[in-house]
Amino acid sequence: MDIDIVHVELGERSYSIHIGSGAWDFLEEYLRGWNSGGKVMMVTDERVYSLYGHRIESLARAPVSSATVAVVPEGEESKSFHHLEDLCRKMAHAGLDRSSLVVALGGGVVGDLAGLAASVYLRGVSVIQVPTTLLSMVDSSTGGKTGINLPEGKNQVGSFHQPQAVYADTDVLGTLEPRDWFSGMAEVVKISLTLDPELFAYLETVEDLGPEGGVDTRSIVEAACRRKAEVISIDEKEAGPRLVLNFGHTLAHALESSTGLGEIRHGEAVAIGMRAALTLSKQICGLDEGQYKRALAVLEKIPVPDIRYDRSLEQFLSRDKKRVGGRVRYVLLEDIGRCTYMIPDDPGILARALWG
Amino acid sequence: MENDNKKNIILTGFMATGKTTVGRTLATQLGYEFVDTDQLIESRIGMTVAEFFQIKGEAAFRKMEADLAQELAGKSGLVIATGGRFMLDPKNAKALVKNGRVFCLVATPEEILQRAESDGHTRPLLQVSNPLEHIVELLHQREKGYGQFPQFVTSQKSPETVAEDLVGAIFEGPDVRLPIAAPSDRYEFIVGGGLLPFISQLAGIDGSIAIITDDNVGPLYSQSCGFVDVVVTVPPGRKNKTLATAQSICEQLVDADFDRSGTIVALGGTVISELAGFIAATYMRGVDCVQCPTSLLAMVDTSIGGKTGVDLPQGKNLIGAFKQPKTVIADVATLQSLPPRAFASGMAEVIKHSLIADSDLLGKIEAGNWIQQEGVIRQQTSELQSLVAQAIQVKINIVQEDPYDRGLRAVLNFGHTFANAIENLSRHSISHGEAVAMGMVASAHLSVRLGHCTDELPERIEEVLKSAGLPTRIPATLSPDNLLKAMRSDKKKKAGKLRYVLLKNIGEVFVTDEVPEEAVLGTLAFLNS
Repeated sequence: MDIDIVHVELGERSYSIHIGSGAWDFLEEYLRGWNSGGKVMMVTDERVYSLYGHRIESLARAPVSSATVAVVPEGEESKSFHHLEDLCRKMAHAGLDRSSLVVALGGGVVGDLAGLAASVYLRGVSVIQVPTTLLSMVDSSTGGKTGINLPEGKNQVGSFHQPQAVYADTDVLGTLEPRDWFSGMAEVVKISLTLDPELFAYLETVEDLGPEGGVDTRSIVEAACRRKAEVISIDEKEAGPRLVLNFGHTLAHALESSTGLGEIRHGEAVAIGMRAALTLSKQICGLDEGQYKRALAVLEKIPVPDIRYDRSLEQFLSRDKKRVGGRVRYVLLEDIGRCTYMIPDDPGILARALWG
Repeated sequence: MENDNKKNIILTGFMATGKTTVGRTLATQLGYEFVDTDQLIESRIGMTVAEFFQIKGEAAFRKMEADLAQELAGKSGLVIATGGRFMLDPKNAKALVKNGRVFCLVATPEEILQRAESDGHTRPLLQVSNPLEHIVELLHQREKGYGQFPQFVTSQKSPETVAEDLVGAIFEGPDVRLPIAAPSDRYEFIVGGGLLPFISQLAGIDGSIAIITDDNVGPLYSQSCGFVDVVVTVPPGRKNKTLATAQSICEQLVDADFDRSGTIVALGGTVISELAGFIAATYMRGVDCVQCPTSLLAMVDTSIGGKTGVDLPQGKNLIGAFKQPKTVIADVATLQSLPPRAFASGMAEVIKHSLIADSDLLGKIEAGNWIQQEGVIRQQTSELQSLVAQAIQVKINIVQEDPYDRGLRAVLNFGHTFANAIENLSRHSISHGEAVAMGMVASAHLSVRLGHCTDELPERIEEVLKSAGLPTRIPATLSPDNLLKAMRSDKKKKAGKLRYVLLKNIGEVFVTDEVPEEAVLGTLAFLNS
């Protein structure tokens, strides 16, 4: 077993991210030692259960009194009030109390939904994040953000609820669809552009960033988690520095909302959003032409669907929740590894950076 | 609110809302000097405002207003009637607010037109083909500007009546401000009469404001809260404290473009307090929240401590969050509209607080008569205010010690082990407060039975509960066996024995799970008669 550990320093709420092949064995050990007296519930989705049901059931037998397994439907639709209520009812039914533990085992949808359920059930029980996609390993499983969607937009309801630990087992990435792999890779590129020039330089050297392209998975997950952990330590609730993690996300959220939830992968939308942000960075933040081309070259290794301009985009853009006093704050690049913020007068400016 | 150091009183509002007439009357009543900004400027320039506009232009006039604002800000003991747009300039408003309190007079467009046409002045604003339509449009444009100040209606009222309303608002109180230390912040609990129009100032709100209220409270008070961006009204009652209601509220907030920099104002009783608090905890992963409790129970119980939540069919408050408010504003004037039974229910919690920690408060309750009749509150604002302030202080002291409810707070559950079972078994035909009253009597008798106190204590408790119109016996339909069963099923999720809060004396309570069942059954049988 080959495991990297990244520590997230948050005082009383500090925790560790376990990354690498065989990380689930460490999870099993943790569950075996779970002795708070509270019951354990494992939450996963239909796809993950169909692939790893056997292993999940054996993990569920690890705690002293066996864990209950709750399976939610696959896909973004599960991030709803309906499924939140359903999950909380299951928790009540299974007899979870304040000393209980929720294990969120799946991609971003499972992590966000089960994280929120854990944060509001009895005003908060413990949660462990077990990401099974590249995207959730490098992004959503760390940092404590939870959420569900409203018809009006993504993650409009949620909380900050830090996990007790994160277990990212890179072995399970073998069953990932290529599209989902690239979706996660987009967030790795985001971290490299905003926070880690060294990681960026490495990504430049890998010709094929696809699942079979030979990229060192454990290293890039480890680097991405480490950078994210550093940012979260200084800004847990996104008051300032943590905003850099939203690079490319303003347009991405609008794209995801306007195309209908689930139509476009989150990472694909972020990749498109980053292209727009790069153009804008070149136009108004003094991003050097050479650096711009380097950044674009890496981004172009991530295939994205062809998205046409849609008028509703501007409406969704102006509804972005990271607004300050009614205005959207954009994260832009001055250089690779150096970010700046801008509050534009016109929220449509991002969409036009892409479609002219 | 108290008018300390003869702070200036500034009147603003649209033309012909009565600023000058009311201002003069008010100045006489307060013994202040009266100033009308338009008249003062006219006397200095030696021509009418309309003439000055024509000759020098509007900008020159606004400059004169700005200078005058700075000048008047340095004085005190003035009632200042301002020109229609004077206070809409943020610089003028900022200067005058430093040493003054601002009130906005309002009237219907029809009445404004009628007054303007009959007062003999030439008004350039009205030299248009359809003056009424023009007034409506201007009022709409200035809605937000005027809305930042507390509003007083002048329609159908004499200048003397309006002046009296203002004097009431100026001298009501003084407010009591109780500081509360929360885990990551501090906030204040403000108690007073007539506070609703000042929510924005009292809580220091910058961004937009969303009121969450219910169909009972909203129509009575949401208009009194100054300018707000959106009012979301939900059906009243505990049965609507669900995730479905929470979803509907969130959707309405998004539709109103309410964003992360906004503040949610919870205007209502305990259900609204917990529901709106939960929305504030989770909408956009958390926005600011101001609690404005309008029932006695909410004022002395749910509005502080940060517990928020919604119910599931499996139990109360199974879903929730800890969300400390930015400020709690308890306007005791809203208790006027509380039905007598709801007032009594709140008194049960007031009495509970006195029993667990404040014998002085208990003495005060014993000395008064707290039974209310429909539509009549017997007590003076100041009496209600000090009752609420003393009762909440007990909870503040306990919650500060134990912000996340990890043990100490348990004493606040005095009477509740019994009360929750009584309430549930009666299918809520017995109110929470009534059940708490019965539960406290049961706890006191149980304390005697176990030798922790003398039997004078339950007698005294029963007397004070009766004086507040609360029951002291458990209906015969709720048998001891069934009650004990209900108490156990309340607890089924917590492994272990039932816990009771027992009394040694007034202000001396302790938590124990060492209580024999026979003693509990015996106590319940005794009270069942």
